[in-house]
Amino acid sequence: MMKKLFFLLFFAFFLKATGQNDSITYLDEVVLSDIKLHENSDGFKVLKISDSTISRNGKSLTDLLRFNSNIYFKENGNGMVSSVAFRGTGAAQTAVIWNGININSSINGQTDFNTIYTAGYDNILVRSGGGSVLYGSGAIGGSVHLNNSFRFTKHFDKEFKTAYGSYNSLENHLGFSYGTTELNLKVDAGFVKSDNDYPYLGTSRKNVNGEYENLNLNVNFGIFLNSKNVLKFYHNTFLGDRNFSGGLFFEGNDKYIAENSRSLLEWQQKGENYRSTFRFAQVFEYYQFFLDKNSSDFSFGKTNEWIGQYNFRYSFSSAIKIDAQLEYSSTNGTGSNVDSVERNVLSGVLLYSHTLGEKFKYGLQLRKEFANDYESPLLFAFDTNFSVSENYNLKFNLSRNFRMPSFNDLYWETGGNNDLKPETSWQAEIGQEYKFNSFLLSLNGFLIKSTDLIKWIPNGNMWFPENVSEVNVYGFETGINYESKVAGGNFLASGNYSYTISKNGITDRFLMYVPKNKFTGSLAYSYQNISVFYQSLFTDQVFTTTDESAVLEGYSISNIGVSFKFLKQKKINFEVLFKLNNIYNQKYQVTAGRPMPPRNFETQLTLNF
Amino acid sequence: MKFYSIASLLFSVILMSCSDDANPSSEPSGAYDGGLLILNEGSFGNSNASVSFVSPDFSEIENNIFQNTNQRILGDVAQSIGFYEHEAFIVLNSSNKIEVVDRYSFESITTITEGFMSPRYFMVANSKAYVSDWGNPTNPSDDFIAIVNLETYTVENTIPVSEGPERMLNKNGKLYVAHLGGYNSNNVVSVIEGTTVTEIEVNDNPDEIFFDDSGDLWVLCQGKIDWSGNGGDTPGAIVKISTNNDEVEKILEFEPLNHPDLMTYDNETIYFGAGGQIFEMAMDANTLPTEPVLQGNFYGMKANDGLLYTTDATDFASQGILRIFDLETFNDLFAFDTGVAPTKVYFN
Repeated sequence: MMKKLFFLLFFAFFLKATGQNDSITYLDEVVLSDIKLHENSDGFKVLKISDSTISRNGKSLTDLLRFNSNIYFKENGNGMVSSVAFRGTGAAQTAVIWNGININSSINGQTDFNTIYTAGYDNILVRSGGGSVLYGSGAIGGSVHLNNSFRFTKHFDKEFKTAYGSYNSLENHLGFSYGTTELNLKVDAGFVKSDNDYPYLGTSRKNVNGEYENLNLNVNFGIFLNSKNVLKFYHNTFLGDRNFSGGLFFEGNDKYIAENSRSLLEWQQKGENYRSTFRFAQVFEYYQFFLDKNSSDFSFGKTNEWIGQYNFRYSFSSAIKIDAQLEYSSTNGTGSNVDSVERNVLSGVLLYSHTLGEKFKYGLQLRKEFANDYESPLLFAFDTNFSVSENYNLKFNLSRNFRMPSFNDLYWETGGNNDLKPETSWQAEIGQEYKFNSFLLSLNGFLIKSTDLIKWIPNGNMWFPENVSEVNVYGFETGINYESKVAGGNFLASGNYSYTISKNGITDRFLMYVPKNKFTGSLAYSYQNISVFYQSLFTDQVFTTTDESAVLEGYSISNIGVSFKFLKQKKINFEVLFKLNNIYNQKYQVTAGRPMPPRNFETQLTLNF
Repeated sequence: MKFYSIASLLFSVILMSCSDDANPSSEPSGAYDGGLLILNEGSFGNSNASVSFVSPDFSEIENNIFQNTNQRILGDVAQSIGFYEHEAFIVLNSSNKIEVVDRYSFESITTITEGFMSPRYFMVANSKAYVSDWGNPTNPSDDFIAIVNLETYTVENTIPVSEGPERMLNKNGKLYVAHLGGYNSNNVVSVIEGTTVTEIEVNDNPDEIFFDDSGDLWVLCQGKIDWSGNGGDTPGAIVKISTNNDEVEKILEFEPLNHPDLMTYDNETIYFGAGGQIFEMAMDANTLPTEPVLQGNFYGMKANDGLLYTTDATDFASQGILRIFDLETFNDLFAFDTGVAPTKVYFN
């Protein structure tokens, strides 16, 4: 089947062999942190979230992606724990990649999307589909990439942003970037806090115990040692202090403190036909959970991971490139419910990419891991990108991916199962992109079959994890983008619709908290120094039980905003933004029993100097 | 055999209804008069606790009777129901409240929200209501029994007790309280007379309790669970306490790592559950039985009048199952789809 398809595409290529070349220049290799996302994802759908979108969409990654991607979030009340369902997969089946490093928690395998401060990143990308070969465990539904980039030109830019909104929500953000042609230093600090005590519409009650505050620091430094050698350093620290609100039917009294930090040192050498990259990283994760916020009793989890990685890329010609990578990682974990444990993983990755003529590219990717506490299968990915015409692009990918058992799965003091296998998944996707005039249309169909899914099974009062579950997902996503000049201004419209059928392969029931239909749309118009925008989100109903016996209604919410720019006022550029969220004052819940905020406002003042 | 059991069951149902008919002054007091009330715990944080009603002739089940009657959600994590006269007191642990309803119509009477932290069980003795409460479940020294005034529905006093008070029984105004231990552990049964508390030491984590026909107290201790091999595991046990002198009379200990969590009593026979198995034991047994009478998923269990009612919480995220077995043959007679995580069966 695959062979046939391959030949078909191959044949099609010979029929029409003209087109463009979008090869990566050396400067891109230097300024970008995760170059493989660009070099080895031709057959995948990669969505880049623009800077202006990032600055308009709140402070957390949940808010940003909820309105601007196909990803569905199950947020336990506004600002609380936020887990993800990407293409109908589970919370631990989306990898979050920080500058190329997988930062999903070793403790539970997930990332809480409300512990990522978006303004600390230069670009945020969503790569749909399997990415375990490139990014390791959890890249099954897709991966979300938080990247910092460098600017090697002479500059000294400073930015200060302050924002205030409903429920005493405050954000302060200060950043600067200093650069020459040889070096670039970027420092970025953000502070966010909110009382988050919004009223529950239709009741006399409000959200109690939902306060949060976060502090985020990013430091990035890059320097050319000489024309061939570049040294780069990336660092992020996130400190979060949140209470967990309950909702309509119980009052939360608990508190959660998160302390996460990631550091990466990278030395890159570029020769005529090769690129050699040495990376050394540390990922630290610590949390404290207080069942009673007024008590000093807490449970905790802590992991510390060291990663050493060497990557060698060789260009046999401008068309054929090979990447070989060896990585060793060692993770120590401990916690209230897990004894001291250690995980050591050696992994080898081989990437082959071939450009035939200028219209057809394909890649073959292999990964094998050797770990002390799980057996990993051989992972592979095959992807192609075929430019049928200047306006029409076809993509295809097929991959095998995995999710390793978390420390909780393996070592939880009562129930943890040392014999667990990783979850494995097969998937295939066909995508097409069509451009005409000012329109960009995309349509992607996908299939995901996951087996050996880890499920905690109750037995009396005890729960035990086993590799017993299966999930089959299929669906499609369509996107439309329209950009043009209207009445002297810029008009931009975009819409994303996704249809997802995600069913338990054993019971044939729909998965909980996966909407069948999701739509996001936005309209923006800017004229001279004024911009207005409108964004909308529709999420279908979801089942809240595994047997489809209970349903949580869908919802549709919209935001509207306007911004004014005042340029060069005493060498300072000002921008003022005013935004009204949930303009129709919709009563809605993302998880059952936990109402979300009613109509609320945000104001933002940004100074660039 | 099965036919015989069903026939005898139906016969007894007919007898029951006949005896009702025989009393002309007793009008049906509500839609849920007679039959079974099934308490569905729901799953934590999902506010899907509920009560189901099974008709007296076991012909049908109605789920969500609180919501159907009162047009609002019951709350988060239902722990237990206590009864007093025509009122039922539904204890919602995570919602930290007690919903008071008419036990036959299920119409809401009031909601008690003040005075609890982590309420567990409700019982009436000496014309007052007692509610066991874990306080902050991780804190071993803030646990109490709340005393509720049944006229005003307010907590009027509390009695401090040791960690994790759970089920309670009343014998002639004297209260026996098993201390499951909250999120920690405990190994006592408290005896409360007035406001005086004394303690009887038993095995770790005492949970289910009953009085036998001669009035002695039987206690199921779960034991502490620790599979790490670090030596934290302690044996579970069935302990008999004489209520004449409040002293332990008999201890039947379980094998290490085998932790019982269910126990019920009917017709001079003890039934207990451990590790997905149910065992039957005579009152005078001096060793624990080794051959189970039933196997399966059992989250709750109650024996009554020759029938065994068990609940299966399945995955705690979908409808559970109530199964009714004949205690002579252990054949299953009836099964019903309940709410989420059914735990307890009450006879209305």
